[in-house]
Amino acid sequence: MIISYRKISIVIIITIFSIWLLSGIYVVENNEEGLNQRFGKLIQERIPPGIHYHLPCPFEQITKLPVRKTERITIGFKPTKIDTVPAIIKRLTGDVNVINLVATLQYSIKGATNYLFSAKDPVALLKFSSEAAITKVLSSMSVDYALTIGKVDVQNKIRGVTQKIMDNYGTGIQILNVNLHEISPPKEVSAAFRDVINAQSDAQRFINQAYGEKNATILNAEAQANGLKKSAEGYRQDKINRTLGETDRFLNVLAKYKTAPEINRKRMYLELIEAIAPGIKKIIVSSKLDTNLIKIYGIEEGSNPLQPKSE
Amino acid sequence: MKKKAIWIIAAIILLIYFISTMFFCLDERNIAIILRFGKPVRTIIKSGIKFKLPIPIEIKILFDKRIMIYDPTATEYLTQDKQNIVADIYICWRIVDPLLFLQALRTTEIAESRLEDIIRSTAGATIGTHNLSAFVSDEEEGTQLDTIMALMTSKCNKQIRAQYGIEIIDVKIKRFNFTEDNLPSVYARMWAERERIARKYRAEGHKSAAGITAEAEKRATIILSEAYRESEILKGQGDAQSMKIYAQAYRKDPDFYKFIRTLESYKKFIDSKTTIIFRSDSPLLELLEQGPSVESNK
Repeated sequence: MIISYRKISIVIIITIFSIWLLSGIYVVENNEEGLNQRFGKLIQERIPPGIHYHLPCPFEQITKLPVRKTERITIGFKPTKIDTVPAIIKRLTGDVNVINLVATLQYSIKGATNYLFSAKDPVALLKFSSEAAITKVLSSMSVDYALTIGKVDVQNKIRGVTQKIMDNYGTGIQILNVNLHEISPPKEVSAAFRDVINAQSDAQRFINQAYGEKNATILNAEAQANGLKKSAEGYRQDKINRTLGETDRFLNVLAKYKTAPEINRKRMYLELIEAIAPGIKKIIVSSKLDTNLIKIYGIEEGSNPLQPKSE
Repeated sequence: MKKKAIWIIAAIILLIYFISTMFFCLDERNIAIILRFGKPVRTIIKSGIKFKLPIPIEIKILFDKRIMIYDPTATEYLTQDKQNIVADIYICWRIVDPLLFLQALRTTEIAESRLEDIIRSTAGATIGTHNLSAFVSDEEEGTQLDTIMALMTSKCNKQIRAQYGIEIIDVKIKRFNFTEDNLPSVYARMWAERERIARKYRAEGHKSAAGITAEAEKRATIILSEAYRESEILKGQGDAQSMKIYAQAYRKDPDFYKFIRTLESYKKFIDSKTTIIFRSDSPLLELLEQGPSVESNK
């Protein structure tokens, strides 16, 4: 009986001892990093993912941290509808304008040892540092830059400054990126800021309209110019054609005329008289009449325009 | 016999307890102070397994040696150029001399209230000797924020380190703005500034537009005048050509040209309103006056 008691207690002791020994087996997950402390003293860090063994409690203690996991915090202040935003929440820009900024910051743990042993609350420290970074970054920027083309620059600078502060503290936190969710003037002045944007688009509209009118004006002028040139070409051609016509006619007539100049001359003259005579008033005065009478009509004696010239 | 066994077991348990209090693990996060009958005798900074005398004789007190944050509420300050501003400051600190800390402050809460006093006066003094432009500036050289914060850190450290055994790692301005009372006037200024900028944009737009219009009119005028020049040249060419052709043709018989040209002009200017007085001895009518005769060939 006694022997079997002893046996049982040995078996129990061995079993408990083996379980205790086996409890030293641990697994570091894929996105984790482990570190080992013997009696509180760090003896191994950066334990890679996989199955490992450590001396069980109370000798060694294993801490595992998710190092490849992306965490996210919101920085700045997101006002809800009920909130009246206190002054301290808003930021000042370099040109002494008040603006509000909300961003999210993504980070992961870069060094588990630093993360655990350098600061009591690394995440709170990260939040505070990023707030300080926002204040610093905005304090040397103009409000126009921060609100318009500088947004990416704001993000990058906040990330850079925060990372520098965190490295200075040695917290083992790696900032992955900073995303601006909102960067806006306070609602008390937002209408005035909107009007500036409107003014910019107004200005662009004025310019576009002017360009439109410019095109119209120039096209109009070109059309007129074309018309002018075409009509001038027409004039030239008309003039030449008419001249050619007239001269051809003249030369033809001349050729015929040359065959009997005296007769043709007479005939042409008489034809003219016949052509014009029916419509006009005619007074025939005897050559013996006092020529003073004729002078009344203002016609000099012997200057009858109808008298054909003799050759 | 049985009683004796119980005593022995009790003694062993007590011994084990005492021995166990003679050893302790010091974590990487902590520093320990050993008190012998309430009097501090040793400071242990390095982690690992440590030895001390058993419990009633020596006890250990642990302190966190990591960076701690203290975040007092935002406070109003006055800058050198008399601007009321509100600054939200945080302090990173840690215990470097636990013995001094224990003697002077004992707990973190007391340390924080002491830190608050120190930071208030330091920040007040530092901010009070800087103009607002040292905190916010869009000038090329930027702000002096880093310098101011470094100055505050070193000022705080000077007072604190030797006295309380803690070290200020960093004093940072988290947020910085005008006070609530000042904001309406700031908004009024911002509003006026925006209006000015909006006016400027619109005026610039008008100016550019006017420039474009003027340029267009200039181009149009040039186009039209060039076209006028070309058209006059064309007309001139026409006239010249025509003159040349006329001259070539009429040169063949100028006298005949004069004759038929005159006839044509008669046709044009003699109409129904014209009265012609013929002398009866004119060549046209001489036949009428003289009557038929054989030799009438002039």
